[in-house]
Amino acid sequence: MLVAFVFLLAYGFGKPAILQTPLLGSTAPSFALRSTSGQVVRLSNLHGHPVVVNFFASWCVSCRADESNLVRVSRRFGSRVRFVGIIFEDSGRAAADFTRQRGGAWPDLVDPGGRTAVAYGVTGIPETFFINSRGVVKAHSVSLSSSALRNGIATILRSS
Amino acid sequence: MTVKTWRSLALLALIGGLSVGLAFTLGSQRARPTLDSRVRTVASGLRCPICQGESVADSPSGLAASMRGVIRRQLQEGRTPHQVQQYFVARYGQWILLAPPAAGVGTIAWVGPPAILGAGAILLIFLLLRWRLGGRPAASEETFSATTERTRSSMPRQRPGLVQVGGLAAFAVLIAVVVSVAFPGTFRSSASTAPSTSSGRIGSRSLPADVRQAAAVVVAHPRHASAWVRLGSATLVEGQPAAARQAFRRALHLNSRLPSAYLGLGVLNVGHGRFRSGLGDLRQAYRLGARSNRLWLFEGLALARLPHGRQAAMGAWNRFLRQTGPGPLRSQVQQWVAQLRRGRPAP
Repeated sequence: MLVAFVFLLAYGFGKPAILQTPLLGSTAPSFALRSTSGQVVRLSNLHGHPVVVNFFASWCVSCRADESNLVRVSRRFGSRVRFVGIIFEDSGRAAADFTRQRGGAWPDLVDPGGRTAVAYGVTGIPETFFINSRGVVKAHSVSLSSSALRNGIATILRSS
Repeated sequence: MTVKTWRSLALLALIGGLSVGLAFTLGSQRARPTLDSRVRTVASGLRCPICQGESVADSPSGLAASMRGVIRRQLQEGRTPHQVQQYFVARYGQWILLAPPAAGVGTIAWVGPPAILGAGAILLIFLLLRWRLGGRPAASEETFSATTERTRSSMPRQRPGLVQVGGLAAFAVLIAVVVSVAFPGTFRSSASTAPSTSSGRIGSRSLPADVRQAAAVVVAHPRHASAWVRLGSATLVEGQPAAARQAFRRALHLNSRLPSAYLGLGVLNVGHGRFRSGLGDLRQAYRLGARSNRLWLFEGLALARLPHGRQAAMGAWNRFLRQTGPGPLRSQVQQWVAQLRRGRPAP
């Protein structure tokens, strides 16, 4: 019994601290959402291009702290990769103010009822999904560090 | 048959038919749960991804509300509860299920506790038998009754030794520990969250006047979320964080968009060093309209402890200073701002 007890503890502690999304290797959940500027963006229309989908909010401290990395990476890879922001539990107006200060020329989409966040299994923000040109989720990151973003983009460019 | 008899038979048939119809209607109503209850049943089996030990059904968070919305839509579209659960497992992984699956390693969680309890019961019976037989092992069925007879007639009964009692106690404690580790909440009290005011005491401490007053308001208006917030604030001031947390959570359960309840939870979390979750609560309070100087004070304290948060902390404290008149707290915050500006460690 003691062995079983130790096994249970070891199993629990042996699990990775950051949960990896089960969507890796699967087709990215589709969405058709309206951007803060009013245009409708469909993921299906972006097929054929690698896509970076970033869930964010204006009230998120980490998003604000690392926003410059996302802008820098988008400027570097913008010609080969499409960037899309999805607003998580925030008003479109606050998010629009935030993105105006942040810069970056990608659409920020309003997610009514948080349905797209749930479809992607989002557990917090920032959370970023890297989708290759065939529409498959190939990488996922809960950090907006430059290295995490570069690695994710390199993965989808390789597999596209 | 006379006309009267026919009339009676027709009346009886009508009453019978109505009764059967009514019974079917009531039966089908009872058998077919409403959409709300089906949503709740599915949501109760899912873990809220951003809470601590709460189900999607019980959590006041926005993400849990979104998940409940998705469950509702999928049930309306005709998916079965199992299919809806599998939708969430495909997005989040197995951990989203509150009950572990009865397959793979999860089998241990289902089979383990009954097996351990069964083994404990067998051990207990074995030890009791040994005690009855005076410490001699019962070799076989044939010798059992003879041995028992001999024991009864000639040998004085022995009390269980200290080692046996100690062993049993240790075994029971180990079972409790294993079961509570495997199933957190197994031994959780199901007592009501309403505070007891009949004796004017919570726990063993006598209540100060403001807590007693707040508790009385809660007893008078148990469905008023703001009454629970008042109780939470009073208990927080009196240094009873567990009671305060319970009160704020109860308030959010009654009204999930009450900024003061989030503010209270934020203050509580920041005060106990849980800066990230405290900051989350304070931001939620801000989004819902809270603008008190306490918000900026505690947001600054949380931000100052987070990486890259010093600049934002100074911003929060400057907002606090703009809203706060002269006093010792203002001087303290001014000192903290100066401290951060000079690059010194956060308070």
